[in-house]
Amino acid sequence: MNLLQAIFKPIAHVPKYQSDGAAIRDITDPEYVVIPLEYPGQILFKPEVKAGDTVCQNQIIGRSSLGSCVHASISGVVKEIKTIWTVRSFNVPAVVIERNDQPPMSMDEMFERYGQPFESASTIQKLRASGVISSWTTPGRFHLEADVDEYPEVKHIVIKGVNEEPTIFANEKLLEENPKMIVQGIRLLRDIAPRAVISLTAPPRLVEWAKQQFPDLTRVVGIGDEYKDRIERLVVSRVTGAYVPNTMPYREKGIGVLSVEYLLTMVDALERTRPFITKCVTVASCHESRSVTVRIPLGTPIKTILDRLNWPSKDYARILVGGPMKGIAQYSDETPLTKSSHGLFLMTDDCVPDETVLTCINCGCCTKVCPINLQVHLIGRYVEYNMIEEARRYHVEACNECGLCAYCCPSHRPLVQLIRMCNQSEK
Amino acid sequence: MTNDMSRKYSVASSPHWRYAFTLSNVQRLWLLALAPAMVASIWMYGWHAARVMGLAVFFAVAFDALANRVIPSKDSTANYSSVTLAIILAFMMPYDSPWWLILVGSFIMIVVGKKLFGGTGAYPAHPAMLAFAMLLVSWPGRFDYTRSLLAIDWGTKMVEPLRLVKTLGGGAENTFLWQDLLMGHQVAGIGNALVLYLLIGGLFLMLIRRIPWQTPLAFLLGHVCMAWILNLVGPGEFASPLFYVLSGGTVFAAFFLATEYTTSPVNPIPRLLYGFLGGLLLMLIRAFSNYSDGVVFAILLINLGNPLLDRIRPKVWGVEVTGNA
Repeated sequence: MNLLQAIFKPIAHVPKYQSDGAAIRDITDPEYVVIPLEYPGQILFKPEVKAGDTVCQNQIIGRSSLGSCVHASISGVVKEIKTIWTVRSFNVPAVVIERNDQPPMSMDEMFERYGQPFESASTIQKLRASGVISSWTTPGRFHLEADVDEYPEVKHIVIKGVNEEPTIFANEKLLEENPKMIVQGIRLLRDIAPRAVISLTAPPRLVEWAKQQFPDLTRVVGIGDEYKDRIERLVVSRVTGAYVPNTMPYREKGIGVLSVEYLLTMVDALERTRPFITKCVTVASCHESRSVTVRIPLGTPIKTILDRLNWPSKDYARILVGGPMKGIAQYSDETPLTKSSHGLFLMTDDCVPDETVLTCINCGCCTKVCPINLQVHLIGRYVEYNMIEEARRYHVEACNECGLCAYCCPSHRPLVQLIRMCNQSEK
Repeated sequence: MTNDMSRKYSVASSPHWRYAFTLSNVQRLWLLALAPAMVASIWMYGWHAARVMGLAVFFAVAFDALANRVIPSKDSTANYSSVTLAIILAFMMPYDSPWWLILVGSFIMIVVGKKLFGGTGAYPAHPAMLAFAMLLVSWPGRFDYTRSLLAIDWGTKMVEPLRLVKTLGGGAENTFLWQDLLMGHQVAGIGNALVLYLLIGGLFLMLIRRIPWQTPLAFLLGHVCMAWILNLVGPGEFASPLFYVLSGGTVFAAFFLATEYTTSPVNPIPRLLYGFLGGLLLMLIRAFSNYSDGVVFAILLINLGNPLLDRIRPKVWGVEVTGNA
């Protein structure tokens, strides 16, 4: 039966998941959190605390050269400042805080310690003090904090109400649960960029609802649950009419892209509610096609989340931060989740695919499913035989690493890995 | 604490989901698509057809396994590609082929045509076509289908239709009923002219998207166009387009030979051109060469054009005008 289904399904048909329909669950009591002080290539914070200090939730523990801050996501004692391996396998400094149950620091005190009382701070200072960094450049390989002293002119703002991965529902749920704050957020965006067209992407079932709830929006665009329709760069291109390749930040074409979650943290920051210290993460596993969305303090280790959900981490053979298509496999369950982690995907031994690399038979499935028309069959073979220069002629750098090519390859070739190898090898 | 963990997890590069489909699945689907013709062939030719197919598969798999032992490669014998190739070669053989002819054919197909170039995915020309061409050139007398089928009578004229039209002119097509041609009641190899059964299998492969629609349709279109032009130019000399499509291995070539993955293009426009060119060449060979059915040479010729045609590529999204590539 499964074989029959596999035969008649369209080739680029990635399995679909369902949101559990329940409210976002709060996890507030990790024993400790690990807060990285560096997002490599993006931002580096200088610590403002030292081992042994007592810190309160919301307290600034690090500050970058431009005044962006990072905060303690729980109250506790700084155990140490040490280097850790991040989700993306960078070795960076981090602050380890062990929880005690002090009350959080008030926002006014936080702003005072920042050196700029809330009332007199400019919008950008408020955002920096609250740890909310430039929205117009995220996500981008070329995101440097110094680039955004002023907000660039944006003509089009896209609010992502749908996550890219088929197993992540964080934005969808936040959209459904916080319509009032989103109305506020849209008003804020209007203030910042008065002439911009503001669009929202939403799951089809929420499109009509969103149109009623957010009359300030220019457009609400429904995004189906087919993975190939959810790839971010293509969604943005469909919404705005301009395709921004992966090699270019959105801002260069006057487009700002931000998620619902980001919009909410922005509202929190400008309304003096709280700094950016929590994150919504959807946890899914390969067996049940259901998922749970939780809100965690930044820096919570994977293990703590799984323990609180009663999904013991020892049951799984592979843990991904992100989803199955673009997620990053973690070698340890102690990796802390940070601002750029949106989901967890857990795979048992029997779900982990074999890495049997066979020869390419030139069937062309990869090239057919590639959403940006890359000649994947050629690139894969060039890189396999170390002909990096030849492969580069086929615009490998434009790849979004969506993973559809490797997903449908009957030879199970690691095509995305080969493309990454090509992009990261030296010229 | 953070970095001394009790347990390590398996890591790999994304994506972590794979379509549950492997090379051997794909090849088995091809065999499934060839199955109607295989069954019909055994039904029509009796145990001789089973013998030819069985010997071809046996020799091909044996040579594949031997070659793999001498030169180990990632193209394993277990992926069924040799079986598919063997069936395709067998389909073109006359039903009284001696075992040694099949042995030589299988050797050329697997060892020379496939393994010497590096196995599935690496050969420049269809191995089964290469082998068949060599056999046809070396032992032309063995491939006189008309003589080989003297013992069988299906109530139709037991002469190779294309040969008859070639010698007697276009009018000879009236000797044959199109129904007979469609049902495979015509003198040919054991499987390559079972038009209806091959069509069923080919459409199945197309429906499940394991072969593109462009190549076979363009192939048939090219063939019909050329036949129509020739028919206009010399009505007495050439038969009607429908006759050429139904006789010999036209449908077999369109659905099973021109669509062979390794030797056919990947992009949509090249696929159209490739197919069209194939059909056109096939008609030219049928019209102006000494061979009555030129499928094998038409396929080998378009195989040569494959890398060149595949240079016509769709534009990559978001990349400025290309220039060099």
